[in-house]
Amino acid sequence: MSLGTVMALFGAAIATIFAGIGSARGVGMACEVGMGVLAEDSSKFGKMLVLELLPGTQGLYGFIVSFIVLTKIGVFGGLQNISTFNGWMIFAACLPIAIGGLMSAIAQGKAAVAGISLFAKDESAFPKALVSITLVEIYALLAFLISFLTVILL
Amino acid sequence: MDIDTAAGDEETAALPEGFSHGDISQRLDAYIRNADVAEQALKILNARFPEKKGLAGLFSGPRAVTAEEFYLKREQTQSALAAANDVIECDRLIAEQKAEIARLNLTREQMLPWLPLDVPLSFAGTAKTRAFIGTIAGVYTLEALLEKVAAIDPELTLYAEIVNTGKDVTYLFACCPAGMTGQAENVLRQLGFARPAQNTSKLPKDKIASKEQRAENYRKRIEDSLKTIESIAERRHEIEILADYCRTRAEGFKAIGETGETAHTALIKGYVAARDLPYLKKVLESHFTVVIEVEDANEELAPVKLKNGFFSSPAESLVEMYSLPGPTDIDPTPLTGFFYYLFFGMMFSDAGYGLLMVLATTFVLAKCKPSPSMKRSMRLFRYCGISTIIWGLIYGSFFGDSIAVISERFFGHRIALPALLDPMNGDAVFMLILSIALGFIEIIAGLCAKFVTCLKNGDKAGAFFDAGLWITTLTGIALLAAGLALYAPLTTIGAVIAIASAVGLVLTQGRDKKNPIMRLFSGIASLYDVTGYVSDLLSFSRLMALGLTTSAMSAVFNMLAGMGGRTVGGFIMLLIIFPVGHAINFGLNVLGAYVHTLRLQYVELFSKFYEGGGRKFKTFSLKSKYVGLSDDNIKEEK
Repeated sequence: MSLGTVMALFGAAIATIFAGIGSARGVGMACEVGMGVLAEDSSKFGKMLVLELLPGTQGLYGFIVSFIVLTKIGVFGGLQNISTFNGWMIFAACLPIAIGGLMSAIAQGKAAVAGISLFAKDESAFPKALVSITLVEIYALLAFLISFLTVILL
Repeated sequence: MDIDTAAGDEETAALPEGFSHGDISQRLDAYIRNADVAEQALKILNARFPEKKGLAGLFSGPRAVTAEEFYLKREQTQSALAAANDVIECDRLIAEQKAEIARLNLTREQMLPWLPLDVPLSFAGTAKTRAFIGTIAGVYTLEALLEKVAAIDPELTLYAEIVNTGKDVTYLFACCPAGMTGQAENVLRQLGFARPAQNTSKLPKDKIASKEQRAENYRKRIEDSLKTIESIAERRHEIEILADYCRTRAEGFKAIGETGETAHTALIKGYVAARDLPYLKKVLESHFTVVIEVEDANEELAPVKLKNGFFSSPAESLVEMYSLPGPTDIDPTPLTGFFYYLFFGMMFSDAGYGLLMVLATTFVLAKCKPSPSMKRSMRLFRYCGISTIIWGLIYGSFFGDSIAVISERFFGHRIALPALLDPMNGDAVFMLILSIALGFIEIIAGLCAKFVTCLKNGDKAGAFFDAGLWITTLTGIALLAAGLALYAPLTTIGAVIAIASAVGLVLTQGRDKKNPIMRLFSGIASLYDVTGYVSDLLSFSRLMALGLTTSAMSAVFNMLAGMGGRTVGGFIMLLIIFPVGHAINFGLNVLGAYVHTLRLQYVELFSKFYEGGGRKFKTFSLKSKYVGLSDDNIKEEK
């Protein structure tokens, strides 16, 4: 296995790891608060679930980028030798979603916590909470687009 | 009947001279009290003997009853109320008796170590002896204890018996001649002697037996109470009707409280939708002696009732969730409905998942008798499902690439679904452009809606300058971009339109300023809004990103499911991983599609033209929780 392949693998690894950490923390934070609200009123479960899961997309984005890298270097059959140069390029391409995903998921988790508190006080504020939390998502989305397009076009 | 009696509304609250509000508070209170009792009883019944409902029950609406069943006669009310009271009383008894049993168990446990003792705990000695019954600290054998006693006071004659030993404690029966009481007490004190908390003249075993007997009695009584509750649980439907009936009557009295009356007449005011007016008149005139006066409602104050055709009416719930149209708004439902279905499908983008949605919602609609609001959601998701199927076919995705993977792995040659667009193999950039182009169309549609809204409110300048010029500016820029990519002559046309419109914007956007320099300045500043449009457009890239998430995750699960190949183990893996994996993927992505499509409507579309803030038309009708009057349900749907 060449150094390039190893670097590409590292790229795939960090994309899933960091975006995953971010989403896990974000969803975790939101769930902690959500449970508290559910303890008072379990009928809010459906809408609460929506708010709790919002910081979860970053993990998926990281995962997709990793998956495409893995297919590209042929982990699922016929491992290819990637040149050192290309390996580093793939590694670099994975950075946006790894770091962008990590930070935006945590930020979104905090927004979700606040949104859940708002929703707990006033049920009719649900769309406002929802929309506000998705505002953070755009930056994860941009990071994902850059990583994805670079990986797929390289 | 669809009337909004509009509690506290300025337009309807004022009464003409000579009319006064009737006093109904006593009867209102009685109905509310009864409804509370019935609901409390139902809560207990549902907790102790839940009603068995199948999967279909999850989606079904309230049980349908006829008017005869619903309008309870006096004795029916009494009997259902008595049953409800019985349930509450039994529940209270059960709680009390459980507490009593806990208390008995505690004393029994304290007595238990004394079981071998064959004198009562209060036994103080005979004529010539003194007895000591109690615990001492530490665990002793008889031998060790006597040694210790001898070590402390060698003169003392003490007869001792170890009744029992516990954790760090010895249960002791000791006896000494009456003359040595003082010495014995001294020794025992040094050993940490303590008398038992329970001091009774009964033998320990009798005492324990009597406690057990009493606990047993309580247990029997609890069982009896449970049986009573269970027998009433069969009459649950009566109590359900009682609860809804009393709530409805209370609601009725509340409305009556807001009407005016003189000695011989009553005055009822309220809103009714214009289309329902002829029916209302007909019904009222055929049943009562009435004088009906109709006025057009004041647009600022009137409640809002949306009216849409079968295609967009399911999307009314999305608009309601945001905010109903205010007095200056147009109804955004048709616009938002169309784009909601379109974008939901694009994000969920799998023919197999779409098919599941259509089948599930159709099943619920046909078999489960859902409540009106559930029915609306089901119809919403059915349209979304159809759109998902179409987009799935465009992307060539049926449970991801399952057909290709399974045919290759298990049957040897690969049959792939033809795809118009394949995001995983090179069409990604095109998909991104497509997403943004569709976003562009929605934004233009939003601006067109603003144009219409402005015209409706008589703001011609706003319509042409604020909405119209931005439409032309954005179209010009779009033509310019299309020209650069596809067909060069478009570039010039686009550039001319864009620049001309931008000049128009600079000249008109400051029109409310008096100072000509300030006017020019705010005109130029308004061009900065273009950044807002750019970020709106970028936001539509989520159409592609979420579509990709669905197909990439399906691809992963399909690959895992097909990994075993054409072996027995491989088939087992397929049977387990395929359904579980796709269930996870379905759940995650249906939620994502729902939320993000909603966001595109609320942020990107509504921000262009929609104010909201309307008050909902609250129908004066049966507010039933448990049962639905079959006739009224039909009326509700109309």
